[in-house]
Amino acid sequence: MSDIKKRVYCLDGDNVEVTFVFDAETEMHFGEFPDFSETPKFTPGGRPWVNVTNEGCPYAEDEYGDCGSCKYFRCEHPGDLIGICENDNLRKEKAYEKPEN
Amino acid sequence: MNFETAMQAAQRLGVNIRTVQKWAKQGKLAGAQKVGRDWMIPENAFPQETSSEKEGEKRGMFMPFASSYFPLGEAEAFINSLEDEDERNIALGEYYYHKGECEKAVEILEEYLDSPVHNYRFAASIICFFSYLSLGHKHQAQFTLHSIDTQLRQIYNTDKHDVRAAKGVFACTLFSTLLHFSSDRIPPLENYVNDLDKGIKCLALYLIAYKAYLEKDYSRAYGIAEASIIICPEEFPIALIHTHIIAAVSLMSLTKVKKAKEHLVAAWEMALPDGFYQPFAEHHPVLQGLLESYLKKEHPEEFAHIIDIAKTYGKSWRRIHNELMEKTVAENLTTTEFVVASLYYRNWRIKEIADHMHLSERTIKNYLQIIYQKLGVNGRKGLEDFMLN
Repeated sequence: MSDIKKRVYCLDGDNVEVTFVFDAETEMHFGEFPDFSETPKFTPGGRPWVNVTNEGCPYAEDEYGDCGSCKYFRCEHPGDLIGICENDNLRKEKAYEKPEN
Repeated sequence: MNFETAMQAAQRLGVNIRTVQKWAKQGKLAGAQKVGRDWMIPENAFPQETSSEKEGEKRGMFMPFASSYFPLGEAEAFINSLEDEDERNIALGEYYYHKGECEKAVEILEEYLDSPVHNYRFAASIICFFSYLSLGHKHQAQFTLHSIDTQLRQIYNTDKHDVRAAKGVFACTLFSTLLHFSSDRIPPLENYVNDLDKGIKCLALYLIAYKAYLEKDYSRAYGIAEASIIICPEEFPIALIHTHIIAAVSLMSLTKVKKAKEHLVAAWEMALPDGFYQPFAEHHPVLQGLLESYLKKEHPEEFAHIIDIAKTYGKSWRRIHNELMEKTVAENLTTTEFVVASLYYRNWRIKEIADHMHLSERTIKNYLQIIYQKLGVNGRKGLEDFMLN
């Protein structure tokens, strides 16, 4: 089995490549995901990429409070650990529309 | 009279066929007839006590180590002071178990699994079962559990409300509570507490507190534990160590971390002089990172030893728990991953988990990503099926 696999996540016209490294003990490949809270990334449509572990968002509407459990989280395939946020309040364009203080 | 085969009787009674054959040969199954090499058992026959077993009821002390007073650090001296050889052996097996030396415990106690003396048989079954879990001997643990369960049910299914019934209810509650296995068929231990000796009574209060914790009544669980600590001051170290631990567990669920830590420290200070590590390993998943928060830093060697025990114990425990409860509590997570997942599932923030476990937020995020990939979920919501309630 290959020690390294790559996968490209495609959402809203944007791509993110993630490396998966093989772990011999568990015989599983584990992804090395970028941390979007440290290095934000937006799709051409202005949607922010998010990790499912992101939390503390003021727009989260459920009891869980993490992006992975949020109704605005959209991922390419069920179970993905990165995806985009579809809440319009967090679109990049919205941010630009706000008057600058 | 209708008869059934020994195999059918074994299935009905929840034991293996050899046990049925042995009972039939000993005359414990009234009306059993030997046909060729096989036994035919009357339908609905239950094993009856032989006269030697009735005599055995009067002998021995139930869990002589856990139910006795001894000064801290002098456990071995106390055991050596016991005059009766069998009682000394049972106490020694219990002692090794609480130290986390489960191989030694099993070596001593296995011969008592068939003892005609109930007190010895029950104590040996309890300690061997949990030792097998710690050693990763899942099948032996299951076999011991099935065997003792049938015997215990017979004891408390009579209308008698005596010391023997109380011990049966105590032992069944101990198995079901520590396995997080809810059962309506076990009478409430609360109704039998007064029939137990004082040392066992204190352990019974620990079990009642643990049951309240499993019912998510954390304040009640803590209240019972606190009352028990006042009632049993310093007298019974084993009971008190367990009670301080369940107090800490309940307080963690009430997010009173500082007070939880105080109880953990109290338990640890009582356990350290004799090296009783097993209670901490057993409770590791429900202590919600408290061991990592306190012991890992202050007592790294002992912490590593406890985690070694907790790894094997936890794995076997989860397998048996999942089978009994038809649950899917995660079996493929490491002890640290399980703690992180448990805290995150209980709505702790990543920063809070990081502070509690003396790790960075980045490390906790990495743990969560690994946990999610192992379990095939992608959010706190998805953890529900894989965590302890």
